[in-house]
Amino acid sequence: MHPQSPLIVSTLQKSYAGKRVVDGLNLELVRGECFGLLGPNGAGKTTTLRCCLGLTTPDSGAITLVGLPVPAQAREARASIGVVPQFDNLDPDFTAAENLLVYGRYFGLSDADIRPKIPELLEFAGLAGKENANIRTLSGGMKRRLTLARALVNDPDLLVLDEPTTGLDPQARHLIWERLKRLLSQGKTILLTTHVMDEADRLCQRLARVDAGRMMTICPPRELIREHIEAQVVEVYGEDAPTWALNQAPAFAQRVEVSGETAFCYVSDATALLQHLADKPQLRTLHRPANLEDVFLKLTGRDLRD
Amino acid sequence: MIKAMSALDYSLPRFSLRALAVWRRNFLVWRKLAIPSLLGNLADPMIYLFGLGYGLGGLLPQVGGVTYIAFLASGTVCGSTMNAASFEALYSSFSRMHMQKTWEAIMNAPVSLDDVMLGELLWAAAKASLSGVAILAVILMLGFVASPLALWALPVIFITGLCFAALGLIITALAPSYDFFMYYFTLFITPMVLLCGVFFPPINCHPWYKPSPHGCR
Repeated sequence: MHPQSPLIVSTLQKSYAGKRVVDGLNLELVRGECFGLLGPNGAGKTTTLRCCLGLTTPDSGAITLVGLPVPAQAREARASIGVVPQFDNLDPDFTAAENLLVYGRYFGLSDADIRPKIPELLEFAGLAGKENANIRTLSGGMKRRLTLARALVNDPDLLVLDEPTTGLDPQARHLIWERLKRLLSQGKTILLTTHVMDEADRLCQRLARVDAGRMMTICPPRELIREHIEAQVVEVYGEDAPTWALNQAPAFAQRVEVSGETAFCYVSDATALLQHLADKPQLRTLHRPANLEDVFLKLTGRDLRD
Repeated sequence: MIKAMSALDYSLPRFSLRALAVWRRNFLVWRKLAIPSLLGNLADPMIYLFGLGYGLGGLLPQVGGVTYIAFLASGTVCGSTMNAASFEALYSSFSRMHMQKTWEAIMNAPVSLDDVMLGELLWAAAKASLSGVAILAVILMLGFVASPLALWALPVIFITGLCFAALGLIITALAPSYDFFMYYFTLFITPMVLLCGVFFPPINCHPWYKPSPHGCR
């Protein structure tokens, strides 16, 4: 175990074709925490991860991964890292067990070291008994879990996950979250990128909001909500919602956003607004506490970010 | 601190033993399909060898002091080594790089791109050598080669494999899609097969064309 922070990044910069993708990003992980990089598509999350792993050479800045300078000693540093990439890249020619065996060899482990670990890893991934299953026959969720198991073959100190649950159904997502929590309780450090707010809220002790390659805020998820947004949200649906939002809503809500036929009213106290809405049966309403997704939409806007 | 490091790195490659893990990965895939792969690698050149060797050979006097089929046999060893190395380093490596993202997965482990390249190169050369050696074995058994000196072909086969695997990997790195490989085959490999003495001695060509002797002879 390395006593120091598993990953320290300072003033990282990277441009592609003249466009700044990562712009002076700073980051320091605390051992044993789950740290989330939150941001819209194209915010520079994946590029940041690739730089941290030594797979992309930054234009400037310093990276220390498990105590080693990156990219100079990236290969050595990666020996203590487990990576779950954004897109599954399991070996389709191999069975589940062979995937783990072959991957372990890339870490310089001998077959005798790896083979006894395989049942344990598959068990952890909820794939017990699937040793000989062909990768092509596994569901999306199973592949994701096998990729997670593969990332654990070297018993890493730091796990790096790039959108670990994107594209999975709710059951598969919850299973992954449960496993990640188990890893955190074993003392592993996790760095993940996500735009699933629920995921960030459940797993991360600290969140960094990344936009246009810059780190905007670092704080615990609840604080992010408290700081940036009113406590409650009333969603108002219906054909008349946009007109209502324009003419009447501002009297009751601190902030109103309209997206299509839905008006999002942000309030610290919803009583007056709900009373007003009770007389308008043509408008359907949903009253709920504000969540990270609201923060995310407020800060990055409702328009597509491609 | 890294100061504006260029994306182009001209330093010499740094290899490690992890390249062997890459080699072993490809070997494990191959082992699952070894029989059809070997048969495929053998059948095509053998059909050419016997078809042309006996068919065309019947019309020809001796070529370079040996029967035409014996002449063609040695050319076939070279030609199929070259083909096997090229196909592996082009189509198979391209699949691993782009389609399956195998290299990307490998490089998330402590394996550098240099190691991946070395593993791929040695693998393509090994697979090509197997093709070449299999054909050499068949023609030895059929008695087209009498001298034990023919065993000197073994290192030549391996070097031929390495050479064409390396060329193939360069094309793979540059290719935007599989279609691109057609240029390489049409403009480079096919002319080489026809002009470098697989089917006929280069000496019979136009007087201004004096190719260097074929790898095999």
